[in-house]
Amino acid sequence: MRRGMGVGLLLLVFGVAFISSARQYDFGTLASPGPAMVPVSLSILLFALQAVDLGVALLGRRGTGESGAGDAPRPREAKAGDGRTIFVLTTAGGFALTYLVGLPAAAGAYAAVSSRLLGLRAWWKSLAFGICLGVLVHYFGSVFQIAFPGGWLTGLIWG
Amino acid sequence: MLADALQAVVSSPSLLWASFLGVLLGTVVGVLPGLGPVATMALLLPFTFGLDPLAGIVLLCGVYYGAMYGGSTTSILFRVPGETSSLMTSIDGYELSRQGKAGLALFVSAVGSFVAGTMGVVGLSYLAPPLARLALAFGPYEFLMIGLLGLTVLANLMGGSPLRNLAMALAGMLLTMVGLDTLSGQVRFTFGLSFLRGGFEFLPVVMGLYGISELIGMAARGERVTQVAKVRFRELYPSWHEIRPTLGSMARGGVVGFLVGLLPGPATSLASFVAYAAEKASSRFKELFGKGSPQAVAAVESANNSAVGGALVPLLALGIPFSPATAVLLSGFMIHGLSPGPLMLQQSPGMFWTIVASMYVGNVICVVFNLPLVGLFAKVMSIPRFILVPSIVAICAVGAYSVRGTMFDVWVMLAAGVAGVLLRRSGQSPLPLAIGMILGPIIDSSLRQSLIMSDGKLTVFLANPLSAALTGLCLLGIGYSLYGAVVQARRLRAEAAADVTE
Repeated sequence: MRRGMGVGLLLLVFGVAFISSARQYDFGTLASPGPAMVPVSLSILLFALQAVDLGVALLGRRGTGESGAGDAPRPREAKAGDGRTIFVLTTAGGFALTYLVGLPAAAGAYAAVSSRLLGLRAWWKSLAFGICLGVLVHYFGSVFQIAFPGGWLTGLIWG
Repeated sequence: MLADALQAVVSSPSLLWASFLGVLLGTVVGVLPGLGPVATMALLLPFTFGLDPLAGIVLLCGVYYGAMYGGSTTSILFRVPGETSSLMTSIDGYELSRQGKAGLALFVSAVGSFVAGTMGVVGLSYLAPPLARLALAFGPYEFLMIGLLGLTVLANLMGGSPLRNLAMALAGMLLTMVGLDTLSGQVRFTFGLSFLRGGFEFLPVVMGLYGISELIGMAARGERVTQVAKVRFRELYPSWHEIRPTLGSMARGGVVGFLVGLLPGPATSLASFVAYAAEKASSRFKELFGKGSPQAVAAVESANNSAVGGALVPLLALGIPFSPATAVLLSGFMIHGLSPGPLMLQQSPGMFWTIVASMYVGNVICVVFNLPLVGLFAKVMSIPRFILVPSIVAICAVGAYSVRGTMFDVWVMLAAGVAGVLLRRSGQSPLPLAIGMILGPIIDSSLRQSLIMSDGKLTVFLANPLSAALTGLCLLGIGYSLYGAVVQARRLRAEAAADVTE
């Protein structure tokens, strides 16, 4: 798929989703507009603009002006793509861990794991970094009076 | 008024500290490629709860203009622009460093930033009050048209496809319409998902689009150890003979930057591009541009600092932010129960003048601390990414969580980060999406209020000269966007035809 067209299609789907769920809400009249009037008008406009934009892109060889249509990714790009995916998954894992052990402990665990992934060789240094960051986040929350989520496991242990 | 405010700032330890801390943090994030002023301001916002409202706003303003100073250091010494607004500095600044004139480039950049930053604040002090007086006469029609005008100008200024930019802004506007509708009290467009009832907050989205997406990119790149260049203290003070040719460039860059800053969009980066082009066109030493021109460095650095003052005019005078950074500032105002705009200037002018005075003081702090501490700030670049990236992600998560005390915002931030990466990879800036999120609620409420007040008559938009002029400008902007799309279609069709012929 041409680069840029994926974003265009996503925007098109976004517009359609809003239009399709609009029936549940009151559109109102011009004199008394309902909560759906502006969102539905905008989503119809979004759909129309994207249809025109995709049409324009399909006319040309290079889509919306970007090159690389259908080119196979170069090895370096593919490696960077893998790195991005692993980093995003690790970050998502860290956020999910919050439900289990609470935010400060999850931040510490995330820091320990991701620092290893990002090139910190010695495991004990990663561990020390994770512990330091977790403690810092905990004190940060105490100082600024932010009530972090406790987590299911910590709730079970500490009551 | 300004003199009293200046005295108040100088004699208030809390405001001086806030200004100093803001400038320091801004300079550090300006040095670091990745975390920009928008993400940092968004991040700091919840932590200003405990501060005095004015001190909180002064701190956030300090981050904004401090980042403009910091971005130039790494651009000149390592050709690594910390901010997009420093991209043009890295061309000539780095060439000057290679010629052994890093001190001259850093001095011209710091002094230019100070001179133009002060010009921007002077412009803000003179332009905001009359604009605010004019805005007192504005009704929902005018605010609607200003919002729409902002969208059309943005779509045409951003580069790339104007239609795509407009579509991105519409998507951003639609995102803000999920959840509770404040006018009717109804919950809308939640698609049956209970966690969407609260809607999408601007701050987690902007932290993801600008902060997390850069960190994802940083994590994917290979480890790079940055050698810190040494600049001797004596080199930082060049001779009058070297400085004199750059004075005109600083003044021109300052004026261009301020004017560009008034427009919707990426004020600081756009200002630096326009100033570079304008300076090159008017310079007697065109051949030096790109090969180490002190005039180019002076013009670009002056423009991006002056643009900060320009970008604050619509926020402080009209209460409408035209860029993500000023939108975060608006959130800061609102968190502290303040609402910038014409009423603030009329009812509490002291607050406006204190903010302006703090910017004068902040500019002095910037120039006093930045020149002697250049080496120290440059060392921030050598922090390994395995420490930097997880630490910033953890701070971002804490910041996003503390906006509403819900993990939903943390997930939204991560999703926005992934979206930011995908958008950049497809050559699309996330800026229209962020601007759409700012202008969405303004356009929604002012359109509905206009229709209710006029009993559904659309002619209300032409009822008085001001709204008629704004409507005309909007239609012109939309027409220009459509013309751009037609031209693009013709060009692509011609390219396709040429391809077939080959």
